[in-house]
Amino acid sequence: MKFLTKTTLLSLLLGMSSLFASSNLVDVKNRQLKNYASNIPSQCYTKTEDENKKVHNPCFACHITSKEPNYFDDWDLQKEYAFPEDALKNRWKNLFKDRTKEVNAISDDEILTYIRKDNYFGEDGELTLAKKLQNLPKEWDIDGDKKWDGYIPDCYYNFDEEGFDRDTKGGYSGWRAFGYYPFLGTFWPTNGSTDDVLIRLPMDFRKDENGSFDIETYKVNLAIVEALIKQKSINTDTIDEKKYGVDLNKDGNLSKANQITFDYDPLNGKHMSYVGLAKKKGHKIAAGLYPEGTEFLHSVRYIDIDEKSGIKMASRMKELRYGKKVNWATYTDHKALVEEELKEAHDFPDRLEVFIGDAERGVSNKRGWRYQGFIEDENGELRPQTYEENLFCIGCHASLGALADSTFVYQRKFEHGSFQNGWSHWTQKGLKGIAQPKTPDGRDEYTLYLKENGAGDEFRENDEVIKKFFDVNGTLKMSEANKLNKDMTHLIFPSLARALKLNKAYKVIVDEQSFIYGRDATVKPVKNVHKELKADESTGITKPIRY
Amino acid sequence: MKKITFSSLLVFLLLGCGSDSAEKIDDNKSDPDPIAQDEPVKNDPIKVEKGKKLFLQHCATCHGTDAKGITGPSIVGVTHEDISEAIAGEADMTYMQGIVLDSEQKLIAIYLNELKNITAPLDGLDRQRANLGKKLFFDKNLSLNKTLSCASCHDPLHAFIDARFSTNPVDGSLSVGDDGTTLGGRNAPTVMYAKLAPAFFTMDDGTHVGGQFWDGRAKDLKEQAKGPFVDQAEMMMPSTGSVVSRVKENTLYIEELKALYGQDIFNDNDKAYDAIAGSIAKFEKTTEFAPFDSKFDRSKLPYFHVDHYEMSEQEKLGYRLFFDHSQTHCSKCHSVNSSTESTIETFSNFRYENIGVPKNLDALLARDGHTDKIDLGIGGRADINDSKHHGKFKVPTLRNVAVTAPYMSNGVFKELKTVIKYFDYMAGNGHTLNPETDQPWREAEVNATINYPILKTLKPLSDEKIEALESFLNILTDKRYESLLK
Repeated sequence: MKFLTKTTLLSLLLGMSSLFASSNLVDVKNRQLKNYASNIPSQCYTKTEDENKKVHNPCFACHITSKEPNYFDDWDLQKEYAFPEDALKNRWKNLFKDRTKEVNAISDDEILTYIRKDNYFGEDGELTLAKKLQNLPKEWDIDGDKKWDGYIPDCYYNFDEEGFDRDTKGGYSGWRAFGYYPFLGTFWPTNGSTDDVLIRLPMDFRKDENGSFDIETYKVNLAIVEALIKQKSINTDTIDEKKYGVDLNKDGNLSKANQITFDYDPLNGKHMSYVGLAKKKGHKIAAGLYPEGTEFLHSVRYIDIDEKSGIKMASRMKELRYGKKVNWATYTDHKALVEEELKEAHDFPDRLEVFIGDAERGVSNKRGWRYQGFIEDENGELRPQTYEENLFCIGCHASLGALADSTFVYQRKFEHGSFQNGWSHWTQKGLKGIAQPKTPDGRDEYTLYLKENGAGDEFRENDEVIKKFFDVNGTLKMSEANKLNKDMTHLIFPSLARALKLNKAYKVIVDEQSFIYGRDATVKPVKNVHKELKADESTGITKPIRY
Repeated sequence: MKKITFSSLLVFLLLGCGSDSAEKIDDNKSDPDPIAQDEPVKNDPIKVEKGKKLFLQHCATCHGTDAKGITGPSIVGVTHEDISEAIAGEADMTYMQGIVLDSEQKLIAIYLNELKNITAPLDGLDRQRANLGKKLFFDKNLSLNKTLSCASCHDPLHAFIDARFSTNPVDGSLSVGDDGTTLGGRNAPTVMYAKLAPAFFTMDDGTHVGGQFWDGRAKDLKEQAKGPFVDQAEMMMPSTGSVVSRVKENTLYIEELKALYGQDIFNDNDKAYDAIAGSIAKFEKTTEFAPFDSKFDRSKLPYFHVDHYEMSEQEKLGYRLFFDHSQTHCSKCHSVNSSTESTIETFSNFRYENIGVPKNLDALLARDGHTDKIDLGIGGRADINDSKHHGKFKVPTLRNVAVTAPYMSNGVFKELKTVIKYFDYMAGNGHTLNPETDQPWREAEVNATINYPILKTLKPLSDEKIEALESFLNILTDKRYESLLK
């Protein structure tokens, strides 16, 4: 044994791995962290100043003016890398690897075959991962109780003309897909992945007052939640208020409503209400907050290519991410949490935050939400993420100005009047032909990002976007940016060649199972990222963006 | 209770062992933790001791007495495989070949693993449990009138003692309970370094070692944490069930306790209470409570180390006196290492002694309205109830002693110097007046069991020596509390 070096042992294991059905390279049960700062994303280490002392600001995407009850108004974090001591060293070392050789070794056909093979459904149409979790493998049973205490996939990705997911018998799973403006930077397909987001409200929200399932009641409740999260009135199809006994449009009568009027100021007697059983049972309601029990399902996928339509979602999932609001946190709770975090950061700037959870139940973000994910094992099958891999979710879903009750995109959902009134899956209608979104203060959001960041991704590694949108001096070509007002995919979709390259680069990380060192699909070592920071180092950004 | 021989006790104490290791000796088979796979590996104390000797002999020169590294890197927690690979050539240490045998490397690895258990930050499940414990430690909602948390009597700004001096009628000798008037039984001790006390056990000569509280009635930190909630002079909750109910008022606690101790943790009140106390104990096992960064510890670093502290002449004299058995015998009870050994020094042997402390009449009067009550210490415990042990209390650690006045189990002395002079008096060397009252020292609370054989061997202390000892005790203050020194 002594003659075997660690590397030969590893390659031996790698070779053997294909013989086994489940993952061997990662111990799902492991709770010991390699990177204690794994809740600080790789993007946060970006060098904001380039070699010419020009300053780039991708930070405002997340660190931005917040909206109550998100009291983490952190736009000032654009100005400095305010990291605890242990996080000063960038442990996302995958960014600095040269994967040219490995990427070149994968042919286009090979990668296309791979990403087109579905790893969510089995060949018999069964939900592979769900089946596995129901017959829990020992190596995934974190607490030894022989059952999986976390989420068991139950979405069929079979959407009707209203975005509802239907099971094999045509029944409702409760999941509903919606179209939304993709979040800035990382989540644009040109930077690595395609993805979708689904929402589901708890059972009480899907039932009428008598306790019977009623899809109309569910639709109204989802619209009410949309108004609460967007904190604005939203248009709807005609709703007979008499059926629900709620004055939804706040015209003073129970009439036919075409709007959910946002009018929430309980201290001045202005209340809102859910409908159906949720109303009868008195589920808690507040502006900017989801009902307790709300779930989100977020599949992150490879980029498939289609000679006719260009870019589309691949069948193969890179990850399946799940979040559930398990506790109600009041405005006061939210405020207290922020105050506590600020005081802790002030008194003990070098202490790292601890988040509670594991692979099975997911990790709590302290604000009532629990997040967990499934990720490909070395055979491409979905497996539970480890505690450390789950912490990666918390990096973004905890304390950021851009969040609304810990979520990113329901507030960015397409409005009533758009395709299927905004209730559709990307497989029903893609992003082509949709104009870029506006910031809350009316600016073109994607154009602002390009202008401030001088690139289309946090690492400024996406040459394709840089070439397309910037001149040799790094100045944004407005002629190109203006095209985004007609079609955002001009920016956010990669070329077919780039799509293939990104898929290959990520596949190498899957083969290595090295997610804890970063999941960014890069080929060459990145140049614009700090390997090590000084305490409270300035980003050089002097004029932070605020809305 | 399983008994243990004195020789194995010595071995055990020499390790500066935490209660985790002690549990093995204590033979406590009931493990209430439903999720226990992340508990640290328990090492055989004899192997640890052998490993320590080998480590000091072969490794400490380059890796430091605390193994955190000097010219060589930190090797805390490295494995036997790591050591053999390093010596085989991976770390350019081939010059150690043939010097440290394979069997010796194994022992060194065991010591280094033990060192990690004591000094390394908690990891995995323990780290998460400690985080919950921290919240519970500071939560006043867990007392009857919601006025007291653990931190009220164990204030982190004051080395975790009761620092409510201005509102305390007896200068902090006894703590004020949740009703704002009731006074507690004894002087609240520091929680700093409490994790180093082994779990309570009885030796074959019938004497006792370790445990928590002044009388060791709580086996370990977890059992200790169960006490104050339901103590009717402290947090005053009527029952353990009521504490669990209060915890359940916070949905975040419910969520976290379920995640950390199992989904069904609230099905059984005892298990839930155990988990609550267990998480507080985990918090108290974090490095927050044992930074080992006093000037004394820093003086043990090599002179070229950036944090090295050079003792003053007076501190050096105090240091020599403290460890000199022909002079003071301080270290006989207040140390488990010799003066030259590693920095992981507990400054207590965690045994029980009667040194003849007088009653604290003011405190008794304020609490009981009379001064009749006698505190029998460990000997008065219902489960021990032995006159041989009347008046004996656990030897406290001297780490942070200079900032954790008042002193003794009843807080009778307000100044550190008084305590040193009192020892000189008990040795029969003079100092016949209590400098705080200018009156003769009052009679001991319990006379019969005073350990005169040790006390009488103390050589007379001149003013110079007293000053020196006090200076030495001052440098046992952790870095973060140095600003509290007078």
